[in-house]
Amino acid sequence: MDLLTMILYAVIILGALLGAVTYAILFERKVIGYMQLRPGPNRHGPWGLFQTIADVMKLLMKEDIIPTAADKKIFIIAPVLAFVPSFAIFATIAWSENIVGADLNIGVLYFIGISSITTLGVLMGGWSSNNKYSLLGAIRGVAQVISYEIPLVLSIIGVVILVGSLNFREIVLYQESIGMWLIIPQFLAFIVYMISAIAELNRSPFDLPEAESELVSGYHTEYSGFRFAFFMLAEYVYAIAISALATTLFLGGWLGPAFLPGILWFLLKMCFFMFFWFWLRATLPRARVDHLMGFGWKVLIPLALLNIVITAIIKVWMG
Amino acid sequence: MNINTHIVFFLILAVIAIVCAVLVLALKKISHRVLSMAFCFFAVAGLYFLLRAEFIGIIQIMVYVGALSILFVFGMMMTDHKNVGFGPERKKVHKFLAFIGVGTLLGFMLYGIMGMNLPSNNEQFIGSAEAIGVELYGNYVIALQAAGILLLAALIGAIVLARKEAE
Repeated sequence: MDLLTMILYAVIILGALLGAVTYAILFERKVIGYMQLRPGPNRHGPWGLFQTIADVMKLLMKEDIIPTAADKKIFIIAPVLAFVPSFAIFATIAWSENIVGADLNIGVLYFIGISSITTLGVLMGGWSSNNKYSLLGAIRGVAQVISYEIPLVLSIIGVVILVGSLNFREIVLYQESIGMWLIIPQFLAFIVYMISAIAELNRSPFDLPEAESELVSGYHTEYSGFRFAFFMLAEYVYAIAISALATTLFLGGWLGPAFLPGILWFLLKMCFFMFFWFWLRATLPRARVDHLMGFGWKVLIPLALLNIVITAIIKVWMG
Repeated sequence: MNINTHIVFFLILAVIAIVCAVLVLALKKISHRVLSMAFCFFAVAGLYFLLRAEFIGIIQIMVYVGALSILFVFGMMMTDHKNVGFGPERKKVHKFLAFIGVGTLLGFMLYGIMGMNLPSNNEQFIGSAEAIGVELYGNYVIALQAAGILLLAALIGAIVLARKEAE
């Protein structure tokens, strides 16, 4: 690909993501609304379709407030530092057999490595606000993300051992060649992946870093207007990215019956995962912080290690 | 990518890396220093990507930007971060001598780099994850294990020291 196509691809993905996040928020509010027997947003546009657009307009037109006690430069850079990696990881995702940005041979590793930078943005945002709730939220968030990154990566290793490649396209092509999705041979890894992905995304029931009842919404307490919008955007883009990763690793990427094109199958499976996050949010109460850490270190990591051992034995035994 | 865009990207990344490295020394606030250090590591990772050493590039990002910078930020949060100087201002002679010393070192390094005779083979080596894995777990497996045990010992030592202080 030459430079122009690369830039064009990136712009298209960015536009699609902004649209996707806009409607993911509406979808979330509608799903939770119906689960709680209320209609959800329905005033702006048919079926509330313009609700999020109105919300975003409100955020963009707000007065830009920077607290006097804040560390100004870092305060400004932090939301950017949180958002940019969440967008950069979409470079390697293989949407369909032919639609892929950068066909890196270390795709999975790139995904995990780049996404870990966001932690720095969150930490810097919480610290530079010069506010105790922000700082507590940031420390909690970082502790949670770092602890749950380990089982997340370990659960992916099971898939990588089976496939023998870190490339997203090859992972899907392997699932095509064995004729089943990897969720069947890697079911344990799938469970571990789903639980630690929710904790990574800071979504309910593990949304402790922004627990509004105790921390006044955590690391972005002092943020308002479009900087706050950046943090929210990063959060939702990560939800989409983790769904895309789960689709590729466990649900066979673009594979599916031939009456729909591959990319549609990919997007449908992603929507299923997005629905799953919202479903959990409407269903479960928030976990306690010590329970969360204990569960991560004492249950999920041993399970993920067990999965690696079993997978390695099967791989060697099958030849 | 043709060779011209290659050079343009190299220059951009190299300038970012050098400027950020200088800023780490020049800036006053420790939080700004940590951030510019993270950007410096990032630019170096970009250079690795440019050389098609993708695996090393991504490890650079994971270890240095993802882990080390966050460790520094934690250190910054847990400690008192006032501007602490290193004794009184240095004398003129001291500064001059330091300048000459650094200049000589730079001269030697440039001489070494310019005089280096690299064998020119057209076959480009691409450090893929597989090649590195086979080397590490085949040829250098004992060294790898030894490094692992060393790190484990350091980890346990750190915990023991921290516990003793807490009591």
